[in-house]
Formats: sequence, C-alpha cells, structure tokens
Amino acid sequence: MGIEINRKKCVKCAGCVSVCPKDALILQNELLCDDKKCINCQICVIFCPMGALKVKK
Amino acid sequence: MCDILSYGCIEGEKMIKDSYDIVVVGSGPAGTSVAKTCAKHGLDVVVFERNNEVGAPKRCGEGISANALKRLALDIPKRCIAQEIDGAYAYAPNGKDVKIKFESMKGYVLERKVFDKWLAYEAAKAGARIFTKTFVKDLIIEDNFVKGVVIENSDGEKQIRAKIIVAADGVESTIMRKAGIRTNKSPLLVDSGLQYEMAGIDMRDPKMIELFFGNKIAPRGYCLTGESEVITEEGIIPISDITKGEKVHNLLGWTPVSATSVREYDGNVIRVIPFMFNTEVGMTEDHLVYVWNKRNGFTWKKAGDLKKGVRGYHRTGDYLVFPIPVAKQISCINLADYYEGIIEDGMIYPLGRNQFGAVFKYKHGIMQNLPLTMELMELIGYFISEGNTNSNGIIISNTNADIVNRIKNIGLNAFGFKPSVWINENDKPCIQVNFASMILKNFFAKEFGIGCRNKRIPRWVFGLPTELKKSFLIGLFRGDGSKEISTEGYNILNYISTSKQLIYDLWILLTTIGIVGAIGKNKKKNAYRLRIRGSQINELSDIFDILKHGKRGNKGFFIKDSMIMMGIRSMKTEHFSGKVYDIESGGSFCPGFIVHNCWLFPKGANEANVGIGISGAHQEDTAKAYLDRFIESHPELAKGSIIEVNAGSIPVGGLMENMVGNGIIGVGDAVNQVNAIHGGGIPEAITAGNIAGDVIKDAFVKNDFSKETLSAYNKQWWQQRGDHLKNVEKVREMVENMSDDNMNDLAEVLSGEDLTDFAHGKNIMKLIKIAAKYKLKGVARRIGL
Repeated sequence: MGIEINRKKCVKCAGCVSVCPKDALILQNELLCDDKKCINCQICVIFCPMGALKVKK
Repeated sequence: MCDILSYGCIEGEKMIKDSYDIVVVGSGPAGTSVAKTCAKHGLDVVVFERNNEVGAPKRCGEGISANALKRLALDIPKRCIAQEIDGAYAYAPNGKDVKIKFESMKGYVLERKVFDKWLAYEAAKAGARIFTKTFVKDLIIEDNFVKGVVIENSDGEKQIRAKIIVAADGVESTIMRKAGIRTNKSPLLVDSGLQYEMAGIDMRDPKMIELFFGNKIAPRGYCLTGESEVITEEGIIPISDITKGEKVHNLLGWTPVSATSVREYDGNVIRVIPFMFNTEVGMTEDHLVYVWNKRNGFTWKKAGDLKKGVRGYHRTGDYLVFPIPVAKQISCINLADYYEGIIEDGMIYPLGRNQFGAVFKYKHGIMQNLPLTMELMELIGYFISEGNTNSNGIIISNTNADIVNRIKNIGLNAFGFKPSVWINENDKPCIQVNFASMILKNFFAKEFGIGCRNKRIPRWVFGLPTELKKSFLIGLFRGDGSKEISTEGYNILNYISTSKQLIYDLWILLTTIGIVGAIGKNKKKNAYRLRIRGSQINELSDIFDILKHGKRGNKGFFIKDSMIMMGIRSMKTEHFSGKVYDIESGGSFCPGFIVHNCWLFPKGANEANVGIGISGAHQEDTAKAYLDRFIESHPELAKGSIIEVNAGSIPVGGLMENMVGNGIIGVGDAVNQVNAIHGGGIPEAITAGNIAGDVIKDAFVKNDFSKETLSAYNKQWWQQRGDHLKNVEKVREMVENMSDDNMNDLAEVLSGEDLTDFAHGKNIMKLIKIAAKYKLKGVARRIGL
C-alpha cells in the first residue's frame, strides 16, 4: 500500500498531511509517504487540490 | 547579510543553542505573536520555520477586517496593505447578486508576505530568535511531559530542550498530533483550497470583495436514504437512528461519529444489495463508495457509476469492500464490572438480605477475574442459542442429555458451584440447567442480551484467539444450528435466529476467522438465517463433523488484504424524494456535504486573489479543475495571468475545548482557531498568540509548566474568542444546509437592494420574512435585527 506523488503537480501545501488519519504523510523539503503506515484509504487522494496524488498499483 | 530572518546570520549567536525557555514551531502570525509577547516579558524564545522564508508560501485570501485590526491594536505599516475594502458582492448560483456594505465589512486585503515578515521583524526586535529552513522533526516527551524538540537543518539533526513548546505549525499541526492533543483533521472540517493570484484582470469594483456561492460551482451531495443500515459497535442500525459519538465500523476500525446531517433530497437513488451481506443500501447518485475492481484496485466511486458484474463473471464488476474488524484481545472478564459484590481473595460474593432486612454475604463466590477458556466460550455459545435469564440467575435449555451434562460440568469448573437441573414438561419438553447467581445474571444479560430477539455477540469476542472463537461456535451451532445436505450431497451449515443483530454479529465474527457466510431472511417467520456453504465450510471441518469438499464456493465474494470484497447482487436506480442522511467519522466511508465558494479578493485595480474551497471529502474533481472552470466561465478573469499558485487546507470549524498539554500550547490554525464562515484566521491567530504569551509568562513566574497551569489559556481564549466563533460555526451549518434554490430565492428577493438599508433599519419586515422562511434566525440576529 502507499501513495504515489506526482512531483510535477505537487505544490507542497501539506493539505494531505492535515487529513491523513495515520500520519503516513510527511512534508519536510519534499512530500513523503510512509508506505508502512498507509492504509490506502485515499482520503488524501480525494483531498489534494492539485490532483497530485494517486494510489500505488 | 543583514536580514535577521535568513538562517544563521547574526554574529555571536549564529548557532542554535541547546536549550531555550520557549520553542515556537512555525513562523506564521500565531507563532510570531507568541514569540513577540514572550520576548517582551524577557523570556528566551526561539522560532523554527520549515520553509526558507517567513510568509511564503502564503496560505489564504489575505483579507482582514478593520474592526479586527482595531481590536488587536496593531499599527501595521502601509506597505502591508494591498487594497482597502468597502464591502462585498455575494453572488447566488443563478448570478443574482447582493451588495453587502456595512461599516463592519470594511477591511483590507493584505500583502501577506510583507505582513508576516513585519510581524517577524517585531518579534525579532523584541528579542526573539527566528531560524528558517529548520524543520521540527519530533517532540521529546519524558514522563508525560513535552521537554523539547528534535530539529533538522543543513547541519543535521539536533535536540533542543525547552520548558514550553508552542505549536503554531498550521492546519496540518503534526506537533499537536505528536503530543496526542489532537487527531487528524476530518476532511469535512477542512476545505481543499486553491487560489491564484491573478494580474491583468477586470473586476466590478476593486474596493469590493466578490463571493460566489452555490453548489453548481462544485456540487454537494453524498448521502444515504434513512433505512440504509450501518454497522456500529452496538449492532446494525438504520443510519437515521445514528447519533453523535456512536462508534461505526469503517476503514479505520471502530470510529466515533463526529457529526450527522439530514437534508431533503429529490432525485435518483441507487439501491444496492451485495452478495452474502443481505442488506440494502440506498445512496444518492453522488454518494462515494469504497470499492475494489479489477481495473483500478481499491478506489472510491460514485454510486451512480457502480457496475454490477455479469452473472458468473463477477470480476467484471465492482466489489463493495468490508474491512474485517479488529478488536483488542482480552483474556478474562472482570465480574466486578457487572455486579457490586464483596471481593475477597480474588473471589466475588453476591449480597443478599435475610428476612429481617440485614445484608449478608452468600457462601458461594465466583472468581472475580473469570478466565475466558475454551469451555466457558462454549457455554456462552449455548447460552446465546438457548439460554435466558430468570429471577435468580441464568437458564440454559437443551434436549440432549450429553450436552446438558457438558453444560453442567463446564459451569461447575468455571463458576465453582453446581447448577440445579430439572425437566420442563411444557409443549416442548427439554432439560433446563439453572446457575443461580445474580453476578452471572448481570454479566450474561448485559453482554449477550435477554430474550431470543435481543441476543447479540459482544465486540470483545471478535478479538479472541481463533480456537476460543471456534469453541464458541461449537456451543452456538450445537444449540441452534443445523446441518443440511445439499442436493449434490455437500454439507451446509445453517444458523437461524429471530435476532437480526445476532445474525449480523455472527457474520462479522465469522469473517474474523476467514469465513464468509450468506445472510437470508424468512419474512413469514420474521427470522434470519446465516448459511455457510461451499469451500467456506472447510475452515470449520475440524470442529464440526463435516465432509470436506473441494468444490469452489460462491464467486460473488473473495478476501484480500484483510478486506472482504462483496460483489453486487442487485442494483436498481429509482426516483426518491425525502430525507437523506449522512454521518461523518474519521472521513472514510461517509464523506459529506459541502459549502463551496469561489472568492475574489482585489489586490489592486487589476490584480486579485481568485480562489475556491471545496469540501475535503469531495471527490468528483480536484479544486484545480473547479477553479480553472470557474475562471474560464468568467471572461474578465480568463484574460488575466496567474502570477502565483497557493494551495492548502482551509479549516472551517472544529474548535477545541482543550488546546494545551504538559509543556505544550497550541495556537492558531494548529488548534482550529478560525472563523468558520470565511476561514479567516489571522486575527484569531494573533489574539491567541498574545493570550498564550501572557499565560506562558505566568507559568514561568510560578515555574510550573503543567497542563493545569497552562489551561488558563483555554479559559481566556474561550472567553475572548471561542464563544463568538462557536456561533459563527452554527451560522455556517445553516448556510451549508441551504440548497441552490434557497440561495437563488434569497438573492432574488434581495437582489439590487443594498443590504446597508437593512442594517439601517429600512425594509426590516422584508428581511424578517425571508429569515423566517429559511430559518435564518442566527443570521437575523447577527446582522443586528
């Protein structure tokens, strides 16, 4: 499980970080997803204003 | 290199020290206000900012009211102000506009980058240190007390100790989450926001903000019909009966419901019945469903787009997803939770009264911590199937002498006393075993229900080890189960009960050991049946005398990644007019309604912030797609250029009672201090920052940094701002529940009229009528009627 981040679309707004129920997303210099914590609920995918996130296949 | 804000530039104190009085995380208006107040009180305070600049990227429409500025007594320099504002135009979905021009609407559109920097200058001038490009990675927590932070910058990682940590890190506030004071934001309490700063556009009046209301810009509407059932900790109940606080089953486990909503709906609903789980769900076309399909894997899909698989080729369609529940494992039952008896040497004794009314202790006690053994679970199984309570204890009936003996022996071992046994010679003769104990009566009645219609399986059973669950099933099926041989000679296990809850509980319990049963309903007898057949029965062949067989079972479902995928058995679309319901819990499975607005905040004659906020749970399209479409449909905007893109979450509610912990205080967006109507948080952040600064000073005077001392901040903030903001939240809820038509009507009546007239007392009757029609009492009060 995990989220694929399209870095060309991401504007690093941390919107996804604020809604993630499992604290799986971290924004430091880049947005990162901890695949071990991710439960594939896709709340961030739906939330992302830029449409930059999708689920890893 | 004289800019005080660039990382590590001041001679002498170039490096970050090992300890400070106060560490502030985040350099927005909240963080710098705390820092300034603390520094003025002579405290040693440092601010860490993740980005390489204070004030960028900006995160909002930059508006602030003149009243708020006056209240804050901030004397901001001219360069912070991009545009003075006189009022606003509000547009209804049909384009009709209402001009709002009160004295209280006067304000400014700020240049946030300049404004934030100015606040930072003020903080630094007062003596605070600010370090940019310094990321706060973690908290140091010792003895339940926050004692410092771990930072990371170009020099690597470093631990910084402090007496108090201030979390001013914005909506995502990882710090408050790490401290355990707050959880993630529900996607319903944050809007997904996007804003373009545009240049070279035309607008009606650069002194007027423009607000575009309406659901057409971005429609609302995920809901379920009232009778649709939801699995809660208490059982399976219609969504219309669900109340706040109840725990529902979703992707995150058993999650408490944080909000419920009802609205009138007139349109198509999709009624879906999945395989195995024989319950119908009615959904509005836009309702989002978490499904699995061969093409996309796990994904959210609108109910209107669901696809039923072709018969025999189920994988061509969508599967509804049921996460197998997890429960905490327990190993014994504390009987003292059920009966207030006398506890001696690990035994619990019931109390009685003799004929003179004096209290005495019964001779026979039961182990206070009753271990959940395989035998006891089997006995519980018998009880659920065929047991009940009577005036002095529990009674289990059976016709089979071997089973009766077994019940007697298990009871003797577990409870330590012999039951009384008699033959009941009513119309259905059977043997009854009676364990006379009020302690047992209370325990069995509370956990497993009284009367066959109310029987249930408590949630802790789901968390037991498999062998205990299996011996529970032995008791249950020997009691009321039956074996059937199919026409092809295969075994089928049936369990029949008049308790609907019991059947659904049993279904869920079976999923936790990897078995998926099928639920059926006998309407005549008003009974429910759970049936285990096909390859599903193999899992139980070790406990029941069953012929194993290799034939593959029902293809309507399968299990993957601890989820049960249930194909769609039937699906129909029909017209529905009436109430639809929604619940909100941790976000997943029940996304809700939306208030959507586009906004235009002028920053000059031809420049403006043009933005949109859509509900965080809205899936149809991204905020970007909506905003692009909105701009395209407004030629006066479309001809301009986008000179900056800002995105992020816009908090729209969720005020917190408690915003402090041991050694930690949260301020600003980090603790949801926002005006729920417009999402404005700058004045709230600064007010909170000032209050927090003063409370921190008092804490240093007392040298006590515990939650108790810091909670003075909760009290003061709620007194000054909280109660007001709570009312704003209520108004927002009301606006949210208005349909496009309502909004159109309202604008129709008010269009062209200047709301100022209303404020000055003209045409008051007209507004009262409208307010009454739309139950806008709160609004009427707010605008001073």
